[in-house]
Formats: sequence, C-alpha cells, structure tokens
Amino acid sequence: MSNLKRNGIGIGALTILIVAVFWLFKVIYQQPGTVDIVNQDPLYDLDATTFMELVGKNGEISIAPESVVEIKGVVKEINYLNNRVTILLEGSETYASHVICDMQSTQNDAMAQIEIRDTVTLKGVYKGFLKDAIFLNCLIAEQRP
Amino acid sequence: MNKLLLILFLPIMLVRAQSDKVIARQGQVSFFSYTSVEHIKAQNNQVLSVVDLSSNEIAVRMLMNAFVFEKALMRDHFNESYIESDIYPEGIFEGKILDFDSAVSDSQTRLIKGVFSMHGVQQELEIKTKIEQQNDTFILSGTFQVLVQDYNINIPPLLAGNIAKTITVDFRFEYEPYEN
Repeated sequence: MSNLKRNGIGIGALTILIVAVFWLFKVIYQQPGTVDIVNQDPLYDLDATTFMELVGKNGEISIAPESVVEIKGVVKEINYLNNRVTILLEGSETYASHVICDMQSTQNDAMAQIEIRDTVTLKGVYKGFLKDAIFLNCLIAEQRP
Repeated sequence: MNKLLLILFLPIMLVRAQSDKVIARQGQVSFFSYTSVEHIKAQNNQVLSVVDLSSNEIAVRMLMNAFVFEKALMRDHFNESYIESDIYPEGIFEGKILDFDSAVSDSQTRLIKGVFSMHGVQQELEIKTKIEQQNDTFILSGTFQVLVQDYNINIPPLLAGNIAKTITVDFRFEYEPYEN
C-alpha cells in the first residue's frame, strides 16, 4: 500500500517536472526575435552627423556591436523593403554615408506621423558599420517636424 | 602635348570611372533551412554591394549579426554557436559577372563567379543571377544553396535534426549610381 502511494507521488512529481520543463522551453523558445530596448539606457546619445564622424570611416571611437544607442537626425528616406520599415537618417556628406534604422513592427503607428526632412531621435541596437551605420530593433524616442 | 591632353581630360575620365560604379546599400539576403522538425528563416535587409560596370566586378559585404529571425533563440544560436559573429562579423563575396553587358537593357541571366568568405572559410561559388535594368537602376536577384559543412559550422548532434545540411539563400540587390 505504501509502495503504491510512493509510486503515485513519484509519478505526480515526474509529471509536474515534465510539464515545467516543457513550459520553460516553450516560453524561452517562443521569445520573439525583437529585443526589448524600451527601458534600456543608451550607451551613447548623439546626433547622426557626429556619430558618423566619430564611428565611421577613420572613426575615433569604436562602439561594440549590440550596444543600444540613441541617435538624432534628419529623415532622408523611409522605405518598406521586404515588409520591414526602414528609416535612413542623413549622416556624413563627406563619405555619402547614412544611418540605417530597421524599425520594430510596434512602431508602425508612430511611423505614420513621420515625414521626410523631419528631425527624429531613434533608439536602436547598433550592429556595425559597412558604408552606413546599421541599427536594428529601432524605435522612435522623439520626433519634431 | 600628351600631358596637357591628359590633364584636360583627367577630370572627365574620373567622372566616367566614378559613374561606372553602382551601389546597393540595402541589399536583401535571406536564408532558409527546411527540416521535418522546424523551418528556420532569416533576412538581412542591410547588405552592401558595389558593382563596377566597366570591369563587371562585384563585391558584397554583410553583417552576420544583422540577420533578423522570427525567434530570439534562433538568432542567439546562429550568432553565438554557429556563425560566431563576434569573431567573424562579416560575410564577404568578391567576384565577377561573366559575359555581362550593362548596355543591354533587356533582362539577362548570367553567372557570377567568385569567392564567398564566411566563418573564416573561403569557398568558390558560381551563382546564376537574373539581371534587370530599369532606367538608372540595376536589379540582381537569384537563389543558390550552401552546404553547412563547407563553412566549418558545427551543429551539436542534439540539434542536427533541426538544421538542414543544405541552406537555401535568396538575394536581391537594387543598384543605383554610386554617389561617392
């Protein structure tokens, strides 16, 4: 009788353990690809031109990829390639380089308010520099016409 | 006299040389891995490419950490375990478009032959590419396949069923005249 009781408790504990592991795996696995940066403090807060001069070609500083950066600049272009919204900010005229920000899908409503030549402050995850500075997971921190 | 002619025509030659280059700042590269366990798809919309129309040479650079995945765990595995994007941050292709005539405005299908470097490994590739021309814009698009084992990427046995041995890569580049 006590063996049966012990077995029952064992099976119950095992079931709870399996369900917990499955639930934990599901929670971790289902995390969206978007990085939550709303509450993260930016490592740098710069205007686009200064950023390009400091980080771009012959740049004085190097920013580690994956750093959260806030960047202010004039909107040069908005495009919708591959069903993703991307803002290009004017950067360095010397090297014809821009700041390219791939926006989070949560920003679609706010994006409707933005027009070319507006000055915006964007916060995003810095990925690196090719000819342009590339940011992903961007969101609008501030906007003024 | 020859020197004088050279000095007079040098600026024109330089302008001509500059206008022979076209650039795609936001080239699109996507890859797909299909297995019975799961499908993995990622896309990078910020791939840089330059084509020199006078020599038909093409160069492509992409940040490996700029691929966007559906799930965070897929992205983390890709960057940390497989591609090691902190050690090998870029994928680079350098090659030549064979038998390409940029003066032909009709759609052309050409082979691009070159070397693709990724994860510290260089592999020769031949890629069939569709080339279209719309006014000043050239569009290059195509699909090719890469073998995971060719790039020294180690998949743990536990996850081997989740990742295809052959990855399908799609690309599309819209080139505009090079500004600088």
